[in-house]
Amino acid sequence: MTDAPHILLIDDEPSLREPLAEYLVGQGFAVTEAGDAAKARTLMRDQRFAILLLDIMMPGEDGLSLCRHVAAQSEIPVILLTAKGEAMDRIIGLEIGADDYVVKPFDPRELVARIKTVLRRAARAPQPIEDAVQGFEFDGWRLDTVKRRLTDPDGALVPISTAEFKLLQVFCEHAGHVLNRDQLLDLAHGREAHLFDRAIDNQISRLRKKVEADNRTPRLIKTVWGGGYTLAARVRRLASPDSP
Amino acid sequence: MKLVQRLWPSSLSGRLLLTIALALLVGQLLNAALMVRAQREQAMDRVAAEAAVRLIAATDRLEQGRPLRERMLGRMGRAPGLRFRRTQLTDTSPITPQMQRVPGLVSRLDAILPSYGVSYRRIEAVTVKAPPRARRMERLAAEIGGRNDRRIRQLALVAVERPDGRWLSVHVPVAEASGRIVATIIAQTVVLYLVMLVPLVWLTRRIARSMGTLREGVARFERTQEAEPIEPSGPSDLVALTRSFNAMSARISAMLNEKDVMLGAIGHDLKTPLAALRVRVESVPDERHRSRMVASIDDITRTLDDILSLARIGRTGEVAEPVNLVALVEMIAEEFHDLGEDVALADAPRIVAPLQLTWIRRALRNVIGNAVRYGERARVSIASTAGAGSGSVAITIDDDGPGIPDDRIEQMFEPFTRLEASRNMATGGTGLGLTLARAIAHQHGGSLTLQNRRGAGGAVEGLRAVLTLPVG
Repeated sequence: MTDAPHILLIDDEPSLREPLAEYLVGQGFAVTEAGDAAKARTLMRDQRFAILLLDIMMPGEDGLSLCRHVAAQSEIPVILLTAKGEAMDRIIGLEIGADDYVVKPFDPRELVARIKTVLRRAARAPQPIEDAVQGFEFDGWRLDTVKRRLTDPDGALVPISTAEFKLLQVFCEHAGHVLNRDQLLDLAHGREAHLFDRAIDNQISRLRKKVEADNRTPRLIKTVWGGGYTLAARVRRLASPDSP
Repeated sequence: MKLVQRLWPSSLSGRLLLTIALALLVGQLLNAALMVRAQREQAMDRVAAEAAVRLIAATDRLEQGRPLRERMLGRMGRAPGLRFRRTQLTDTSPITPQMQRVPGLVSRLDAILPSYGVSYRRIEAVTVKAPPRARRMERLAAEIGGRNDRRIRQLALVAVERPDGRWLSVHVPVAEASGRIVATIIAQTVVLYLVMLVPLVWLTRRIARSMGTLREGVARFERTQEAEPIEPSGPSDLVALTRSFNAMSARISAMLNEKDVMLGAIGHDLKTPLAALRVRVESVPDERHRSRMVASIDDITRTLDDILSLARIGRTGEVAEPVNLVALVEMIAEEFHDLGEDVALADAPRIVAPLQLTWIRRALRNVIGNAVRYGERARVSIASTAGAGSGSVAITIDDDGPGIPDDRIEQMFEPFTRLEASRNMATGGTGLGLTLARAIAHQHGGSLTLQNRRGAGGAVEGLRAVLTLPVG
């Protein structure tokens, strides 16, 4: 158990913190609990944690403030626990450096899945250059990776599902490369995602419906026979989503 | 009555100006009537005086035995067409019963004649149409006398029955009411209008502007529910009203803020124990029990979210952004497909509308969710109706369910209303979905309506929900 990922769980409410810690230990993690931000800061000085689970609403210093501190001082990934599911919180949470969030009351299995995804991402790219990238632009379309939104060449928002968003992000990050279904599954959803190849085809087809002028003769997301798919457009990385 | 309603202006300044203008006009008309009356009295006095002088002179002559008629005009008096006897002595009265009597003249003469020694049995006075001769004579007399204000159309004929039974009568010209009075009154009215109405227009415009500012402020508050003090201006009443409104809106805004804080706290305080419960449920070994408990927790969470959202609508803090509405509906349809639901979307061209994305998504999910839940499937179509500058888009959701009794349709929008209480558990809605969806539609300046779809025979074939949203 020595190499079990060490989680620092910060929540002021023992009624949630204690059973959650118990559950996570049961799932093979090492868990240290903290009841407030001050305790968490002390603990972080002495120990190294793989990931932080951070409640937003706490008396004293709140979760957002601590998250900002952690993001500035270290590379420890943070998942926010929030009681409000509103868009504002999501944007603020992700803009101040959190890696993900879950809305209370969450499905503990989903939380575990997200912890694993975040940990894997952190392990694969300790400090990737992509962190500075806040968006992509291709053929007039903009993909804002901070606010997780897609806007068309005329500036109108095009709502897409999380799966489609991740897929498009993978295409942008690997523009010009041909990606097969396994690679797409792995990059967009993680190795443990219980998805079949057909699901990727389905998502590609849905994505095409949204970004292609004519989805029978795709111009942007092209099928490569025997290989997979590729984004056939010049992709520009944007340091800020609003930059020209 | 309808015409009056149409002509009656709706604005304060319009009403004020029209009322004052009408009042002035009535005043001026009364004034004109009084002046005309005074002029008439004056004319009557003059006629009476002239008749009296003639009668006194004629009586004197008769008593002195002199001839009745003078030859003042000399040869001209004999000229044909100018011969017109003003004073006559006849055996019978020249006045016939058909003639127009003038009692005012009789009473005036009754007051004058006796004191000049004229004795008579009775006086009769009438007006007669002036013969052309008389008109010409009067015109001539007017020209000689340098007067040009008298146009003579009528003569007063005064007949006095002398003590000897003979009648002494005189013709006296009656001056026409001068048209100048009407001209004077009109000129006066115009001057009054200019003097009064110009400053009034200026004043009412100023008041109207102050009221306009206030009205805009109230409308803005209604829209944003954020208190922005309005700069008081205009007369003191309006200033006081504006101050009161500012105080009221500040108080309401503070109350709403308090409410938001309270709702946030309630949400947090309920969701934390729910989260704890949700985690503990994982340790229930019986899979069947566990899944039921999870479903119950999900139900509570959904209801809680709906209640919190409903309470927060209007102060969502989310700004409207241009959204490709067709892509949004497409995405929601795909979500339902993934859950194995039957949602068909008709092809539609790209339509962009300013929307609060998360809220409209929620409204659409609720309405389409109802269709698949109660009506087996949803057929969604999107159509934009072009308008000058501001069109709208209608999203129509048809299902194949049993519909809703017509008299209960409006009721469905009330919170916690469900068509059949018994279906509660089976279908698992909160009873807030439509309430929330309609509130979201209204928040966007749109609407949400339900109606039964009927076949050719009038039988209900399903329910149709139409969500209308403004575009641009």
